Amino acid sequence: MPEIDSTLSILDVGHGNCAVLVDTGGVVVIDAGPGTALLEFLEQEGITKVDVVLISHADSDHIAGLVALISSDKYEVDVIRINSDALKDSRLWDDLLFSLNKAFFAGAVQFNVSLTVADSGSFDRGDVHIEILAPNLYIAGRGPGSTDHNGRRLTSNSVSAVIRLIKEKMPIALLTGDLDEVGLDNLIDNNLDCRAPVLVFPHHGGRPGAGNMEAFTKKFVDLVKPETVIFSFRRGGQHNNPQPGIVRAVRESLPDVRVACTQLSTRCAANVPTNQPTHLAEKYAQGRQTNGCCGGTFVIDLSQDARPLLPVLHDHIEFIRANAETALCEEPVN
Amino acid sequence: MALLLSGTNINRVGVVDDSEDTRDTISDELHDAHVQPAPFDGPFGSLNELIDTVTAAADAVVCDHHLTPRNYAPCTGAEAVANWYANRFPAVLVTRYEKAEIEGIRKFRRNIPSLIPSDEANPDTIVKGLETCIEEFNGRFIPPRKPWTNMFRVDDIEDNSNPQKVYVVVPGWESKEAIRLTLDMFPEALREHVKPNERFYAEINLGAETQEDLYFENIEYRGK
Amino acid sequence: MSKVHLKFATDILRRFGEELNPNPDQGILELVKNAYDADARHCTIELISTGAPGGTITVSDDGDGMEETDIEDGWLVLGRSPKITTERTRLNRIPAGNKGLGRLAALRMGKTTSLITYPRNDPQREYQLVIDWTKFETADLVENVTLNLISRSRTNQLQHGSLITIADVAIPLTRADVKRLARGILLLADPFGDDQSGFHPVLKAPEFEDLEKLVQAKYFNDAEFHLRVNVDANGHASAVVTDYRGQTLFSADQKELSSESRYECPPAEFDLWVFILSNTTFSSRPTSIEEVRTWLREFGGVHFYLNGLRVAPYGNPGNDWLDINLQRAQHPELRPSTNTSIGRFSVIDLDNKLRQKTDRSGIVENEAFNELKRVAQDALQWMARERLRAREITRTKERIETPKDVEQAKENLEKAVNSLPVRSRNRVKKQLEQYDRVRQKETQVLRKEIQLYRTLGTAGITASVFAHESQNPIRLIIHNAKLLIRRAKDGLFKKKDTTILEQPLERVLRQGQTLQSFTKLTLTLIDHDKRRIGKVDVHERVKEVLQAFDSLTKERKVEVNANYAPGRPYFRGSDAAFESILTNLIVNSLKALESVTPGPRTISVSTELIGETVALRVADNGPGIQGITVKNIWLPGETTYPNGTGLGLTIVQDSVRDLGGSVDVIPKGALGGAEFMVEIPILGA
Repeated sequence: MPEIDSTLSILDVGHGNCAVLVDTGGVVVIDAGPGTALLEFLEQEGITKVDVVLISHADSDHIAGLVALISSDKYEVDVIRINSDALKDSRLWDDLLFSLNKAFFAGAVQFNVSLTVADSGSFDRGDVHIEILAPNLYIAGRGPGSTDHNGRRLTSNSVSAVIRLIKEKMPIALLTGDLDEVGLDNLIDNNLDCRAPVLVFPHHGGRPGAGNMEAFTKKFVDLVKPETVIFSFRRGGQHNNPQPGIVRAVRESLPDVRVACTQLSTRCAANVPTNQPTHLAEKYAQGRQTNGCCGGTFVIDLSQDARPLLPVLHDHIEFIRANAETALCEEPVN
Repeated sequence: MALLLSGTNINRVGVVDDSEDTRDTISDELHDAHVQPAPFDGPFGSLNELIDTVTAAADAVVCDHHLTPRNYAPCTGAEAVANWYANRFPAVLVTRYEKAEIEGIRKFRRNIPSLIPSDEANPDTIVKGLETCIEEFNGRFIPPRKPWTNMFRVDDIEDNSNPQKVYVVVPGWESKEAIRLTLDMFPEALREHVKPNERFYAEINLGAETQEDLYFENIEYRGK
Repeated sequence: MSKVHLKFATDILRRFGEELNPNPDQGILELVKNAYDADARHCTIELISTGAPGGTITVSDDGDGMEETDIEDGWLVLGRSPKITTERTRLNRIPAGNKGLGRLAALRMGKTTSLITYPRNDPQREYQLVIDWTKFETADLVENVTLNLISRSRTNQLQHGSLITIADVAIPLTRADVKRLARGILLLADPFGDDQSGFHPVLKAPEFEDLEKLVQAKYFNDAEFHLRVNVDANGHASAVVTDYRGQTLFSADQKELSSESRYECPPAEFDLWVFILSNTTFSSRPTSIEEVRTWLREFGGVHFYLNGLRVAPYGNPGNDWLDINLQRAQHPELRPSTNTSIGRFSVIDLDNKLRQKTDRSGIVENEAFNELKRVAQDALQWMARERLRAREITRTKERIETPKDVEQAKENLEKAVNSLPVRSRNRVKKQLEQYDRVRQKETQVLRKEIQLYRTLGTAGITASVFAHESQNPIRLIIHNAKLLIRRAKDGLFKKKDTTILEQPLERVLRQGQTLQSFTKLTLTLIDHDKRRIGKVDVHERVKEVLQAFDSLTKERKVEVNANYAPGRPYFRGSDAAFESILTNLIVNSLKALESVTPGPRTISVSTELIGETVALRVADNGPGIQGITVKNIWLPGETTYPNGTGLGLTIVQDSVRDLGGSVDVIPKGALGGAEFMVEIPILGA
């Protein structure tokens, strides 16, 4: 087998999540994101086959990318797992099934609606071990719309799959979908090791629910103890992410943390930079079109033991200091 | 005065518009963009006459969409630009279109890389528009323009409209918005299948920002 | 033989005075007329504390005043017939003159009356006379009471006029008395006409001011019709009825008015303004129906002016000397009443053919007066006939259009009624007739409302056409503005070439002017006067609409050819209805011509007189009626254009019907495209 540089890319897809693990034995996509970002990324990387697609939670906003991927005649997909059938009676679900049926690889594909702790390890395609830390079988079985064992209501966000990537017994990153407080509490109850150096914060750095977002944030980072927290969001938009309260809570809990956003929030800079950025990783990033990237697409080089994260911190900070006059990650913390 | 855009030399840019004052305004913009404007007074008797006259006299063209109101040419600007594009002649469409006319443009949209609202036509947007066009000739598409084969579903049809309106949903783009097409965008052989809940495939620019920019090229039917 | 004289007991003063003239206002008006005869410009009547006994009334004027002989041989002489009235006064007035009996009654209202007069012809002197009426109570004979006429020299030699003071008024004046007096004073010198005799009587009493305001508020423009009848010196009458703008609707001469060849009466002018006081008529006007009603209540009726001064009681509240109300019984909707009209009958009688009654209750009903009445009545009769004729022209066409099922239902109903027993049959028939009348009224009201909405519909369509067109000029203006800003930022203005600045600005100017012309038509369509029923001059209206579309047709490179029939056909209707028709047809043609590229593009508009109608033809060289059956083009919502409203032709058809006309279309007409022909019945050409 030819030497492939294993990488984990956290894509800048605008409003959404998408991570692509290029491993020695195959390609695993976790959440497909909206729009064509994933498609462009795969094209740019020369990838034509995706071995596994895991969708952390079936929300109509988050399915578009999957449908686009399947319907496109360019990419072959082997295994698809969606963690709930919340959309089952919708036309979108029909669209999904139809596209699967008509895809040129239709004969070979395995499609299942289930993504729980029981699937840990089933999707490994090389050196990276893929753990599913949530949802547990109970709440997965109960499903969105129902309640957990504490009587708390479960939404599709509550049953988001939480996925941890580990190589050589050392965790790489934790991907958390749109997990909310109820989901977090159930995750904690699972009593599994959730630590990882890179945490992709849930829900695009927006409010996790109705409760106290600072408390939620503290609880989360205490659980994961990351060195880098990534927020994947689109600049502007009605939510105007990330929420300053969350960023602050992260930085208060972890004084040495690196806060890294895919795009440049309007809270950090009123205008996009006039010049082309030079610090970004050489991968497709949605924000490039409008010059709205901050960190852009983050890439973890798995071939090195140190697992360096690109863009390089130093260059990234230089960019922030030059272009983000009100950067949330640069504000003084008490 | 000349521009070098993606390896192509642009010296003269034709201006096609049925209003003289608009031609002059666009000419001023081109002048400020450091190219030679070549406004055409018209009128033109046919689409072909328009295409040929301009290609022979310029290196690129900025064309307005509405050419019939003032009796200038018997076709739309969208059709003309699509024709020029097909002949690898750089063209930019300028328009003040209203929502009701999107379909007239959409059926040619695959061949219209740059659509500029008329009051936003300035040296920057025009040059960028021509550049995008030339890049496409060379096989390079910006993400909002790149074609992807993908599926779409017919949501509703409006019976007594002329031309008949067809509302479709592109789940790979956005599941909630219904996009208005017209029946004549479908190949004739496939029109019998145009009914609610039927699905088709086409080359669609899934990276489009707004639905006005979506095109549907080479529509196919793959059965139920 | 002894020389004896006829003597008058003092009682006779009462007989001739207050008993003959029971209303105090009439007497005071006589005093005012005296002032008029004396060439006064101003005359002030003041009532001081007259609400209770013991008040004072003063009448002062700035006339020529009286010299000693004028007083002794004129003012103090009672019962003499007035002089020949051919002699005009210094200010060219025909003196009203009077026997002085009304004056007597007025003077006797108080216990004492004083007269101070400053004669114009004798600036050095002034005269004063005090009459103490109590002295007449105690005396036996009138001639036994001596009055002292004091003559004094004057300090102010420029002043002239008279002041009469009636002191210690016995009977209080009620509010009604004062109101009557006020009304009489206001109406005295023809406040309606424009030729002022230069005489301004004024009553100082609070009741006067609001009435005066009412008279000055002239609501003549809210009249539906204005009838003017003129009788010349030869007794030949002519009449004309105009709309509120003064445009002639009907006209007649002697032979159309009367079977006689002339009227045996002095020259006269009769004006009558007829109002239609309905909420629908007034719905679009700034004047309120209540204002006009109040005004007519106070001043309505037909007033009679003889030689420039009003003669009571003609036109007083409740007075219907021309039997206007009586005539209404037959066709109430076509006839005025005293509540809905105001008029002025003005006669210049130099030959004294008319004489006022002694008791001031009007004019002696001799042949001359009766002939005058006949003039008015004949004219009113004629006007009613003309209105009926005009209405029937509209109605005839409408009746033809009544849908078949309504006809059928009516027939069935009649059959059912006729099968009832005789007694109930008549009762039912009567009730049905009443019901029918009420329903017809309802339909009329609805029709009027539809007219409004139709106009708004047309205005809306035109507005959207122009809004659509306006986008281009607006975009160009914005575009050029941005261009100029950018050039300014890039420092291009510093260069010597001024065209960099001038040319874009000239484009801005041109487009701005185009925009201006677009907005004009839409705004005139909504003008409320356009919706009022009046005379519609067909050619005028056509020219106006074509003018308004001029800039648009030029923009679209469309040639418009207009050909007019000889004459000036007109009918009674609203400008808005007619303009709606033509506007919508032109908008239609313009839309059709968009597909004619390259040109030439032509619209032709022509009028032709066919019998009793005018035919308006609008044709174009577009593709004709395509993609829709001819029958269906009139249906609302049917359109072959993506942006079409489908309302234009519906509005055309309905407006045409309203005018009692018909419309038809030839799918491929003279120019190759659709040709519409509208026929409307006319009143004249």
